[in-house]
Amino acid sequence: MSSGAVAARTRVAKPNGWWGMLLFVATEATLFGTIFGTYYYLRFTNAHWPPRGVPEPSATVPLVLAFVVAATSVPMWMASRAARGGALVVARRALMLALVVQAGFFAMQVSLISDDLDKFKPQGSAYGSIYFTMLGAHEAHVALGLLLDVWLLGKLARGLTNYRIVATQSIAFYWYFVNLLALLVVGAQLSARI
Amino acid sequence: MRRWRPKLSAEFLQWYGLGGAALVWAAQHVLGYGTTVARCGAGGVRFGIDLHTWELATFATALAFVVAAEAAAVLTVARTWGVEHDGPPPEGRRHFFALAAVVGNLLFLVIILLSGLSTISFDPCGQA
Repeated sequence: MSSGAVAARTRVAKPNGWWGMLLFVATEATLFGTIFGTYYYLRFTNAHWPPRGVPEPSATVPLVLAFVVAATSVPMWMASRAARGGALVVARRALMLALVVQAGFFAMQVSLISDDLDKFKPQGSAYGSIYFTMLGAHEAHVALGLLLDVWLLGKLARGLTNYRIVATQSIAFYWYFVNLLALLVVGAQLSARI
Repeated sequence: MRRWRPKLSAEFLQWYGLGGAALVWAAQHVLGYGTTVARCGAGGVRFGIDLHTWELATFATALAFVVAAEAAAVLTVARTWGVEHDGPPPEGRRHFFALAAVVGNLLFLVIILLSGLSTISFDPCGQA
């Protein structure tokens, strides 16, 4: 392990990279705040939600998927902790496990969205617009997270440095946010059934 | 025997005193708007949301948090008493922030009182 990595392990204050990720997550939280606000505003101002002719969203599969992807916060946390502790192999394995599950979630979600597009269109109603905007925005964030995972695995293949430890912590933090969003998105989705 | 005393860090008191009331007011505003839409919108009527209860609960909670923010600011002023507001950090900065927060929190307290009292006094779904 490099001297930079040792410095990162003994650091007390949060590194700049982590603060940068926090600011990025804050801006994305604002974006999703407006999306959720719009969804619930439309939901409470329309007598029929979803509108007539649009099927109610299915409950079981999206709910299970959301909890499965939320569970990847655990291996991401393990990867972050292991990297900070200098356990490179553990960090790589935990990250790989998370990547596999997250990629499966992404593939399933794309398939579900594709099925929904066969039933109703974004341009067909306010419900369709906000439904696909919400799901599409979340999937875009999942896709970005997958790219970050792959990039990080590539970096960790060549050992630990201070930079890579901070990257692991920051990407884990990003995934906590994306996983929380998955639960909020499925909650909004399923609220249409109430 | 030593008595247990809760320990609040100077850093926390400084930041909560400075930003807490603004955040509370924003949260009260957003939550109040949301519950009004949920109660009065065409899609929300069937849920039978008791708006006055919600508004009262939000109002009381917001008041409690703002009073706590004011107390945090006053406590910070008291702890840094004798320090110049343009003195060296962190004490000078804390004193300066806390002085501003004591005044600012009073304004937020009045805003919350006015908006809270009006929302629980008037017909929730009537035309403005």
